[in-house]
Amino acid sequence: LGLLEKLMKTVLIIEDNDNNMELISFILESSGYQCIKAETGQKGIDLAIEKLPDFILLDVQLPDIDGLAVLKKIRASKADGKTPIIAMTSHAMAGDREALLTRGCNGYIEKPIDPGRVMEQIQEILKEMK
Amino acid sequence: MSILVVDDDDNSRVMLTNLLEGSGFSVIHASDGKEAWEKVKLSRPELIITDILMPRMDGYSLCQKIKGDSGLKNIPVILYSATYVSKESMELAHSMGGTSFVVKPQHPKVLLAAIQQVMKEHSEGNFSSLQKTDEDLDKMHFKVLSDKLQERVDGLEKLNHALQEKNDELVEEWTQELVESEEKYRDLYDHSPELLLSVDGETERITECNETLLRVLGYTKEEVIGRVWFDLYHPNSVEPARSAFNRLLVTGEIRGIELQVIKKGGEKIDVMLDASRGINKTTGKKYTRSVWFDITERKKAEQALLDAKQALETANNRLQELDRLKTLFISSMSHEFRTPLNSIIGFTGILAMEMVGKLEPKQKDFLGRIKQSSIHLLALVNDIIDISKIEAGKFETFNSNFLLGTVIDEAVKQVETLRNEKGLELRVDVPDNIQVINDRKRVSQCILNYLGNAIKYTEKGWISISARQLDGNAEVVVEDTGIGVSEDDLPKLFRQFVRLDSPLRMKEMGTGLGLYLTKKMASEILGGTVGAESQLGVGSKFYLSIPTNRQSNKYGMKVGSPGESDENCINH
Repeated sequence: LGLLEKLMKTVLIIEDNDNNMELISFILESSGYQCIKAETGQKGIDLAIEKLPDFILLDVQLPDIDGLAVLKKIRASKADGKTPIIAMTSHAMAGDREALLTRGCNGYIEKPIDPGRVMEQIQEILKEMK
Repeated sequence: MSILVVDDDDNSRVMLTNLLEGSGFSVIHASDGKEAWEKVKLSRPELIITDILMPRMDGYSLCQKIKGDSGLKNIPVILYSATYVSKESMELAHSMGGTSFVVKPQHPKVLLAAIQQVMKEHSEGNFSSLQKTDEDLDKMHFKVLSDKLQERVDGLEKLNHALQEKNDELVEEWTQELVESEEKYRDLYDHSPELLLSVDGETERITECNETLLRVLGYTKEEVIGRVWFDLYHPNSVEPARSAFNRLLVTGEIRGIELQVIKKGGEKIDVMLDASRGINKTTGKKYTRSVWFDITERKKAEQALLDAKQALETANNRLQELDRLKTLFISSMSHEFRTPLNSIIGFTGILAMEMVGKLEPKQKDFLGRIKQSSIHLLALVNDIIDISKIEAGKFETFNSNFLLGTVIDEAVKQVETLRNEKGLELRVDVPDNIQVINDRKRVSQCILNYLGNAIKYTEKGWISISARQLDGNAEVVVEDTGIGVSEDDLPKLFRQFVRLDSPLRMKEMGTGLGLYLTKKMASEILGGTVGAESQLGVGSKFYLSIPTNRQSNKYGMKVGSPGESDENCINH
């Protein structure tokens, strides 16, 4: 992907933890992405439908609505049914991860996020979709 | 010729009559002197044979009357007696004008001879008659009678004496028996293993109790007899005992009432009361017979059991609370411990990558150390969480169908950087057709741990991974040319927090939980086994064997396939 293409891309990050949000958005912005930030599941669903981002990074442990439900709702909306969604899971969420994949999640990156590898991981998932 | 037979005894009379009639005499008879006198006057027999002792008029009087009568005095009279055999008796008979005297019982021949003798003398005109005046005769008669009476009295006295002696003998014998019997039953009563007592139904006072009761309760007999029964009960037992007592008087029997009785010193004992009601035959008064079974020991045991049960319940509650705390701990570990670590690792990474600015070499080095330590800490936290979950039975596991080769490839890729850094050769011998239905993620975790260890503890040479299918199992072997483990240390390998002494081990960071978790995971989650072979300084060989089709394991865990629904999540 060229720099120009990257500049045009927007990513919706749904993440309640402030540190994680700062970390992942910093890495993505450093790579030229425009980040839309949602701190709750509900806000994430709304922004996904409203802003139509190029892809979505979804934390599966949210305080209001759990990741699976957010995924379901976004997938169910006509406006944004096909947006790539990448889950961010932790070690403990092994079970959820399998469930996420069978429910229309396109891939996952594992926490802790490795700043040196995370962009590569994301690109790989997006490439596989095409 | 007619003969009058006089006898009050029917048998004697009939016998004599038969004898005489058989000898050709005609016989008339009378059963006493008075009747004979009437018959003599009427029929004037030619001979009279009379008994002496008879009611109304005896033989002597009859003889005297006949001999005193001028018209009848020539009729011969034979006196015939079994009892009047004294000299005086015979003399009186003679004096009365008795012709002859025969002692009973006499042979018939003798009697007949006597009759014939009398008849002969009579025919010769030899009549017997009264020999004395009536007054003398009466005196003699009285004397004979009184002698006879005296004789009878003596006889009776003798008999009486004998009876008295016999009676005394019997009384003594019976008394002895009675005493023995009384002793026997008294012994049974007094030394019965149970506590026995009787109570008067009206006065409610104790009338009797046994030695066992006195011994157990520590009272003297005087302290118990005469007391009202409820004095012996513990205050708490008086009311139920009272209602049992009233019921006993009505129904006649009570059983199995558990009460408490007080000893003399105030100590209480537990008893079970059985009682029956008796009714005195002569007075008609009611009384009770009670048995107290000492059940103190049983009660103590019951109480101990109850206490133990209580303690167990308390302990169980505590355990449940601890279990709840453990689960709480696991879930907070899962999230709260990891989130800040993720931030530390992430931001350290950004800084180390110089994404926010150029760094001095020392700064970069130190940031690398911070990141490495954070990753180590995170690994430790993850292992602890996994182990805790397995031990708490809260481990989530999912079945999926996968190729073992694919999982091995992924694992090999993950450790590639590390392996290359050390310049270790990799040997892979894995068939690409081993199909496995098991928890993919956890199989991968076990293999990764083996590979990670192999690289960690091998400085030069090669590491290898191979796999094969054996019956229903898939076996993975990871081998290295590393530092190895001594024979003594080998059995310790799969224990928790075991880090063996060696310079290389000190250098490498590990959790001390890796192999322990692998073993736990393999056996309790995957349903398989682990093993190791090693030679110090030569290398190690680690085995993992898992079922290729995990339906359920020995813990009765149900296994679903992933992703179908949320319920597929298995809490293990």
